[in-house]
Amino acid sequence: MTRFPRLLAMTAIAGLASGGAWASGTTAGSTISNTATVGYTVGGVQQPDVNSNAASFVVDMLVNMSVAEVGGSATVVVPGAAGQVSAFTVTNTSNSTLDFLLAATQDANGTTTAFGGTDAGNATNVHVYVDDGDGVFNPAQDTATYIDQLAADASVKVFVVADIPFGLANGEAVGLTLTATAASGTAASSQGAALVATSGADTPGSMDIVFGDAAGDTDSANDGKYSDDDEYRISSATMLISKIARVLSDPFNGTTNPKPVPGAVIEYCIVMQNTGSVSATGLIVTDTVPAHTTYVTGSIKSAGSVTSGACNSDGATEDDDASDSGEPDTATGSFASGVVTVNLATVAASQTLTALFRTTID
Amino acid sequence: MKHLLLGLSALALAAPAFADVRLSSTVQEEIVIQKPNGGREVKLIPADSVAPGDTVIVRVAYANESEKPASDIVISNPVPEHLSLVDIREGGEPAYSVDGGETWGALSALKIVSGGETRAAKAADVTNVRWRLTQPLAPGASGAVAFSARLD
Repeated sequence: MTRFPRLLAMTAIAGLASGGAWASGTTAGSTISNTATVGYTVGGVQQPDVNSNAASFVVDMLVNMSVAEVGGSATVVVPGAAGQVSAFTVTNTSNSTLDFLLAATQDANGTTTAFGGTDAGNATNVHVYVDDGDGVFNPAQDTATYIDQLAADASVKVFVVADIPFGLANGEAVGLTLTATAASGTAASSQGAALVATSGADTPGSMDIVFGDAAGDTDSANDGKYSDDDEYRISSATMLISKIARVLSDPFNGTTNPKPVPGAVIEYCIVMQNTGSVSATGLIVTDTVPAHTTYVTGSIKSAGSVTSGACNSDGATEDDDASDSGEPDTATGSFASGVVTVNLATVAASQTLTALFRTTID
Repeated sequence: MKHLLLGLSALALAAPAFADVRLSSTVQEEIVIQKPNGGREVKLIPADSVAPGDTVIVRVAYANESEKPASDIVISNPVPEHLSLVDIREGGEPAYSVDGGETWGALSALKIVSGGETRAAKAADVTNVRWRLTQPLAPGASGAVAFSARLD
């Protein structure tokens, strides 16, 4: 074996790489051993090869993980919505199978949330569940509250499920942060204890635990934890309502500079403006015909428009009964017992619609 | 066959009476200590347990414990599994192999063929190193070869 072939250049064959090049590194607890061999001659006679001792060491457990919000945007919710899901991916970048303990915490009110909102309230009934593998939250199947035995380099989805309180306005945010803590993953179907980094000097011949994790949103580097934040963004309809009255005509001046005298016709215009970011649905406007006035039969118009704050007196003419039959749209208008009711059904985001009716002064 | 093996081992046992080159392998971990004055000190400590990404120094000391000079000394060291060669620390430039010892050469002359593409071999591709001592090792003389490697 002594003769060196005098090879100046050669083509090697790939595929004999010595290390298992896992992103998370060589498996914790492995023993790495080195043995060298020497060949030599004495007096021109080749001697048997001599091996060195096997120098070895144990691979430490290098604990590392990531938590990443899924989707890159806020979870859009309406006030009072129950069971709203915010998804994260937890990846074990350690060189060992580990359990991960999970905790969701509320961002402090007033702080800037994950996607630029301002935290304005706390979610309630907050729970954390681990996905069963289909990537979609399903309350019946996704019931685990900790990650059991996540293999090195494996990922799993985690869902934070929370109720959104009422009383939050359009655009306000509810922020929360998911923290995953590395825990012993030696036992299946059993929540392991949080890992503790080996302190002090290297323990000869045994596997040490080293925390190699980066700092997350609310945790420090090398603490065996990682955190990422997400936010619920309130998307709500905000209705501004105003009422405009104007005199259309009187018995003396007709329509020229009419005055509110007995016999004059008054038009009431109720303006519904949605300044929110989602449609307001099921919208019903009711107005009691003022005292000393008489409702003008068949004067209801629905879904009219406004120009520069002035009512255009347009819209679909409605009959006075509560039935839609014979009316041009699905927005019912009716008059009964001195009350005008206009069902505007839906006012889209940023839309302004009017409801109109007329009375005469007694 | 068994007899032959026994015969060979008997010969090997007998060999030290004439010549005995001994090898001693050690693995040390290279750690960088930040000094209070801002300087950095590189220290070697015994590698009992090592985390992925850390650098270790694999050192092989040799000594001729016989009474005759040993010639044509070739020290061969496969890079242990899960370690990636970084550089050579002692013993001069060895010959390298990136295919488990089938072919050898200077690292700059070796190529890796992967997925139909050929590229120059890197230190991390090396599977074996071996040093050839050009001078005979006198009785009682000793030396060492060493390389650094990173734990995958």
